Amino acid sequence: MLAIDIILVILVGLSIIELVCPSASFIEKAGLSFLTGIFSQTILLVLLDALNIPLTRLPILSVTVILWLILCAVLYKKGYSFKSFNEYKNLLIKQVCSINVVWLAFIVVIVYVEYMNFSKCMYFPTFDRDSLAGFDTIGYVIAQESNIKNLSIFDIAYNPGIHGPGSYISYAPFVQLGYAIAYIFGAETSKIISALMFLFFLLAFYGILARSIKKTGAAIITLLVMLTPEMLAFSSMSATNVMHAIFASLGTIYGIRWLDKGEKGDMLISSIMLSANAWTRSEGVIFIAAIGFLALIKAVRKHSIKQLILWGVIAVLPFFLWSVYQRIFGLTSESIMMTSPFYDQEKIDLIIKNMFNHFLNVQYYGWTFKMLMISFVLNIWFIVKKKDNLYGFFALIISIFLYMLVLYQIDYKWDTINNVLAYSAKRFIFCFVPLAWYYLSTNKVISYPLEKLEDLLTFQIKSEPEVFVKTGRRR
Amino acid sequence: MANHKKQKNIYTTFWLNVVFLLLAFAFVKGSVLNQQGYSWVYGMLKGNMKTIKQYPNLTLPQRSEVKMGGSYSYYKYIADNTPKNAVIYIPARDAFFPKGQQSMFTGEPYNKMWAIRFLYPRKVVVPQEMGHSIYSRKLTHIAIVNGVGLEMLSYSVSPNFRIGVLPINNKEILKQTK
Repeated sequence: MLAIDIILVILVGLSIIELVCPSASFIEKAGLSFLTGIFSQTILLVLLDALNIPLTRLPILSVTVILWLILCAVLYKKGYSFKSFNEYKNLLIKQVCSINVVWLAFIVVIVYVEYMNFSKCMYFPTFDRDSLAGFDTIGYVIAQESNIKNLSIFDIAYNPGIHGPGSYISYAPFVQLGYAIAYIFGAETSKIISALMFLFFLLAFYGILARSIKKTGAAIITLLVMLTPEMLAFSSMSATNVMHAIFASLGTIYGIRWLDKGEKGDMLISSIMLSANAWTRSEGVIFIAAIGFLALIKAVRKHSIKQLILWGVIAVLPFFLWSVYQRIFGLTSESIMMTSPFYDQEKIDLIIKNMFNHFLNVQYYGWTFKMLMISFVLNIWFIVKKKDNLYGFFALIISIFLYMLVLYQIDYKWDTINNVLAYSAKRFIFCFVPLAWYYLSTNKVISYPLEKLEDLLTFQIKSEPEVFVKTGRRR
Repeated sequence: MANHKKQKNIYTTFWLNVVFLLLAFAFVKGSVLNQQGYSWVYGMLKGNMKTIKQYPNLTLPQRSEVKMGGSYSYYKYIADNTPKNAVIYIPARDAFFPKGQQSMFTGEPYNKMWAIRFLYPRKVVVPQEMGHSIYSRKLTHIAIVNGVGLEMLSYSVSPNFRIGVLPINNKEILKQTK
């Protein structure tokens, strides 16, 4: 049953991506399919629960099939048709003809490391503290009690501290609902969700990068993103941070591409991924704010606000719906955010010191932020003279600044600020890892040599399809 | 002539591929995997793969014991020995991790949500909820950890009883004995 649901989730995601961005590469579509599909299914779960429909296999499968059929109907109406076998064959031949040994070697290493990581993730059950004391347990209880809003663990009579500051009752819903789906469909542990999220992220990240800096560079950078020590270690656990980083970074990367190239497809993928990011962790709104701010400046300069409005509505709608749902059904807790402005130099110094210590920690993030600095310094000439990759630069800077601002505005009632900065904040930085690698590798000073490397290594063999066209056999 | 040039290009590209492949190998092996962080995470994955290949047929409870040790075994024991409608009192952190002593427990077995994950559908009550939760008046069982919890029982138990789960009053034991 779980396999059926996962296939259905992938089909839903694939249909959505095909609909919003037909120009995306096959590998991007494949990567984004599960991420978009599982995000959509968790929204369906909330809607079913709001309508008092039990969260059991049949209703979930039924609404997912209905959603998929609707998407197929829209695709059909838009004139979408499956490629013929010959077209797939030609595409494959073209891909095979353009491979080079270096690309192949990096892909083999990526596949090998991911095989080990996936196996580890599936073999060991959930054991990390944050999951057992929150997300995994909530998902498990949702599956047992077939609802969200009336869970026994949300009952104040059973759990007197449930509405206290920072309580898990008010967490954004993606992770626990994802785990609930795994348990509802009969999984022994919820680890399949973490495992698939990271696997599909690698595909999507490689896909978007290959579109920007060609495939050999994309393979090298994907390996370096994947090997980021702390992130790779956490990718096989059940905590929210890696999943949040996946949505936040992809949403921001597609946002940067949209601002750079102006393609509607990139805009729509950015808005979907960013809405999933706020659906995973509430502070994810800062990534929406960062891209939104840059998009607003561009919209004002170009006197065109239509795309920005569409992007903004999609990006915030699920978060808004979840907030309404929480208010209606009382899934709220004492706020940990201080909404009024204040000035505390000691707190500012503490946050800046800790965050920068984390950023420079090669044990946690490998070469990520050192390479980012090197790439930035080497690219200064292109930034000043050619305004190279400015959206990427500002998206990174603004989102880091906003994240630190969120840390500053938090009232640390449930834990000390020192604990949060020392142990939790290092995981918050995961969001910036793929983003940093994307930015540094798309800088002219790095992307140009990588593209040249690709040209040098590619065998100049005429591909089969071109021969077909020339001989006229295809017609 | 054109054919010769094309062949030469393929030949050059082939050697360029070989050279860059060696460079890539040197980069990954000599540079990436020599960096402390990358080598740590890679070594960890290799170590985990070794365990997986060594014990491919472990059941989920066995794999849970590998990761959570005594905490998992203890809760599994409680789940196996209490009815599904039990209301169980779990003692505080100090009982699980006495100061200055080695503990068989790992993780946060004293955390209510942590315990619920393994004891559901049984209800769990923790010390800070005593008197605040209606379930604190409906306790049916006490988790005894390092002897802590015995003082809550209405009947006497040998002080040598260090770990286990006992009904809050001995009616249930008497019922079972009859």
